[in-house]
Amino acid sequence: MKNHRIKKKLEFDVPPYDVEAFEKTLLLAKKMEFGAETYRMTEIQSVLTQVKFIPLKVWIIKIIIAAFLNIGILSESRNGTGSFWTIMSIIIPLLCLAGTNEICSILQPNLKGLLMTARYSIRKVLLIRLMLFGIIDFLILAFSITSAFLLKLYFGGTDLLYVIALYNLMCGGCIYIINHTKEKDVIFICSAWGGALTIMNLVIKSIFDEVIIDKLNVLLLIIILLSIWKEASEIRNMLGGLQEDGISGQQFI
Amino acid sequence: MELVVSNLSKQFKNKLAVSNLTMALQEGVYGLLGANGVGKTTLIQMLCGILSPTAGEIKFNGKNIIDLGEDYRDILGYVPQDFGYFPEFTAQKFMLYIAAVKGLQPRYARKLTHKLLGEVNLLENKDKKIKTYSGGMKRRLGIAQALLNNPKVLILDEPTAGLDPKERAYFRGMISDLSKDKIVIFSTHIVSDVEYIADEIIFMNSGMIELRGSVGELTKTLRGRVWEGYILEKDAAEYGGKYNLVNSHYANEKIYIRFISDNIPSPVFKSVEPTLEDVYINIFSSREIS
Repeated sequence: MKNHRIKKKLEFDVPPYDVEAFEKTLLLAKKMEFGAETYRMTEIQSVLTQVKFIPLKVWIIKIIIAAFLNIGILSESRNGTGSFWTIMSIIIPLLCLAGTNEICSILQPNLKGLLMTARYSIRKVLLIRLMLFGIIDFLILAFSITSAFLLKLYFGGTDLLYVIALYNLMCGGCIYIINHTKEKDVIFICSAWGGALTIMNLVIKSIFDEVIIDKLNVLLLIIILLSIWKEASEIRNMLGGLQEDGISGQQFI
Repeated sequence: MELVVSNLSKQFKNKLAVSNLTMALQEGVYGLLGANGVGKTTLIQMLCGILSPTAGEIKFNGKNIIDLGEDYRDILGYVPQDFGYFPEFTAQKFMLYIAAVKGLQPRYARKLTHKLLGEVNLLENKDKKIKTYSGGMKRRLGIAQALLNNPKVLILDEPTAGLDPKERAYFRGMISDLSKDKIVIFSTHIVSDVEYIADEIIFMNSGMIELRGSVGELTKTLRGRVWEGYILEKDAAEYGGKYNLVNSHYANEKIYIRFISDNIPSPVFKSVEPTLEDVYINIFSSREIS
């Protein structure tokens, strides 16, 4: 009787060894070990939070610049003074300059070390900020170009190439300056670079316009390609510079 | 919980800042003592993952910290030597920003910020800009931000530098309170900062560990070798050149000296109980004398 009962108790199916379940358990244990996941932000939240910490004055400056740009376009469409290039030459460097301080402030040496020890690496924070400013500037310029087109302001392919070339020259230059100068001098040198670009464009437009007009599209295309290449290599240097300081980006990002 | 450093080295061009260093740390407060330039900050930056080692590795609970990546940074709190901040930020905003890069939910971060700023006595000043803070207040804010993620490994790089004695005492108390269930590494060149709160003292010299142990163990090594007494002014130079002088001052037209020597040079001196400062002087001055 007893044997029968024991025998019955022992009759159960042993589930097959499940490697996946074992790995899942390990993963769960790891999560439990490394803290309260319920208090964690999602990736999207972490991007949105970065927006929150960019000072309001930066957004206000960008809005003012966008307003000036569109007022300029509107007035140009009414008066037709041919000053589209002049407006763009002044506004685009300013648009780019408005976000420069927010990029270089997180690269100040004493803060950099602190941010490098946080969960979301400084590389991620930098990339988020660069992309954010890039997207906002793109939207402002796209809106302005569309309104110029809708207002039947003369707007050809050359003008579009010009906008892209100037923006990339300014951005690439600013990132180069951030990478190669001391933090306190960045805004001053970037402003000088923006001013130089504006003057250079106005001079080219007024003096050499007729001479180079035939080859202008090709020239602008070359400038765009070169400036994008330089911009990309400077961004890589900027993020790589953090790697040189120690952390292997691939493993830590 | 264990943080193991194996054969760690860091070379900067011609300078070997940390040389083949090996140590294992468990829960407790570790005082990392050494003169300026002996490699404390380099070691700390490698422990934090800010610098990569030229050779060797650091493992937390058996796993390389580089492989752990985010998971390691999740359990790490770091107070740098020079505390960087956004000058326009208030303490509260800065805490919320650090909480964000540490990946904490904003609602939870707000509660925690309030609690931590209270713990470091900054609640009343939470809405003031950090640039208006005194050195001590900035240090306290530095501690508070490091605690946001409830770190299991807390690393403080010379957190008491530039603080007055009262603030240093406050700081010591705070770190002592925080040390439960944590590995706390406290780097300093001020002996009294760690003498009373560290479970173990690690003396660093020329990028290596020179000596390691509890205060009792370390001072025991000098028992019977520390002397005090009065000498004539004309003998001061002789004693200064011959022995490791720990302290000297004029008293009653004579000079009172405290020094380290294997043998008693004169019966006028009496043997005294060694302190951690004697150990420090013995390590760093013996190199200079030799």
